Amino acid sequence: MKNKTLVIVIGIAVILAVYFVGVQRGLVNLSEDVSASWGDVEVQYQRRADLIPNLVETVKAQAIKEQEIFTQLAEARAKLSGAATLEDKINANEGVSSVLGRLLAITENYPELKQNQGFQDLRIELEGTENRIAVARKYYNDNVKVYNKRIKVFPTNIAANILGFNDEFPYIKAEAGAEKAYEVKF
Amino acid sequence: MKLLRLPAAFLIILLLVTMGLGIVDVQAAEPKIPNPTAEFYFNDFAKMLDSSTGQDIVRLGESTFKSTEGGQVVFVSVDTLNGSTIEEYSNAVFNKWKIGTKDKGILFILSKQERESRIEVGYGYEGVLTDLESNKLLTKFSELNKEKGMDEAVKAIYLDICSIVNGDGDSVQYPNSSETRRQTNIENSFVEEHPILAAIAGIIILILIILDFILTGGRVTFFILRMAAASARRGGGGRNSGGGGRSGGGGSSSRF
Repeated sequence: MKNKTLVIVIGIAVILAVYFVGVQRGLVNLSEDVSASWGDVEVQYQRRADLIPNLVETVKAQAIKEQEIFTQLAEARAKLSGAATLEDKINANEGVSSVLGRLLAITENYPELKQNQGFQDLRIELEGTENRIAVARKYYNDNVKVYNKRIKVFPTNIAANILGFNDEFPYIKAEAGAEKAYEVKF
Repeated sequence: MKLLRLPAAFLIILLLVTMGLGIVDVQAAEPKIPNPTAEFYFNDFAKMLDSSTGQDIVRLGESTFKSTEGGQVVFVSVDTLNGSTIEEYSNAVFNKWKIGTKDKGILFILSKQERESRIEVGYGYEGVLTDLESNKLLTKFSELNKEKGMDEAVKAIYLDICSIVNGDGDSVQYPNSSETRRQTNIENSFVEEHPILAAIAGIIILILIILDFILTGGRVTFFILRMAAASARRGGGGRNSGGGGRSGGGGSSSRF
């Protein structure tokens, strides 16, 4: 009788161990996917940030009325460098998106700026970068969705909790309308 | 009872492990993408072009695949984007068709109803064909389309893209440049240019094959066929299908 109980206890322990190993491996894989796709997003965010000084220079040279946009852009960029957590970084970058979108919308009112070859090229580069961000963001969000679902769904959620996979990854929500301003028209 | 315990435990383990590893597959909503044609390089779904243009493009696409060791330049025309943006649509096509070996792929896509054009560049070619150059090519496409018609415009841009991925980007002419525009006709094949010579060559080969069958029972013919089949297997991987490429959204879009 004693033997039987022992066998059952060991049996359950083995089952649980195998299960936990399975959950752990699965979640590590998924969170690595999220991290990798976040890396791609960050590369594109950086690429865009690198274009901003040139853009500001070109636009400033044309003397536009709406000077407050440059202050807003400077503030948005300051937030960028101050961001530490993933969520802060996402918010700061989406903040940059919306200010940039507004800046480009403003430039629509300045025909001489639109004629400027340097500005035209910058716009195309920005448009390309914005599209790369959109693609990278989609992959990132897809991966986040899989991971977040997994750690919330029963019974994985119990094991995930015990193993320390508690935190959901934040989604990147695109600023509505921010991308529209990038359409290059001739 | 005792006999049942082992299989039951096994079943439980299996159940738990599969739940742990997860077989739930989350699929995001994607634009509906058609399958590529058998030619792969030329997919005129919107029927905007001549079939001879298609032959020229397929020929050029295949030679580019060989000369660039796996690079693929694909042309697609669609009737409508079904509400997607051209960027979303072309990225979905690119990644579904897996254009290009080692991500060396380029997609040139037109949508008929929306009058949108896009050149989507795979990761492997992002440094070779920049967004700016893509945009200039699309501007050139739009101008050529007005001047010479759709067939000539598509051929010219397709040839330009192939030149660029072949490392011959300097020969590509962009609009607004002072130099004269280069002839952009795709070279005709030997058969089309010298039909009589080709026919004579064909007859000679036929006679040789007949002689071979009479004298050696076709040994030489079979040997050559085997060699050809073997080299086609070696060199032909991915020739008329995707090479596994991915795109991160590089390239440019424009209206035409």
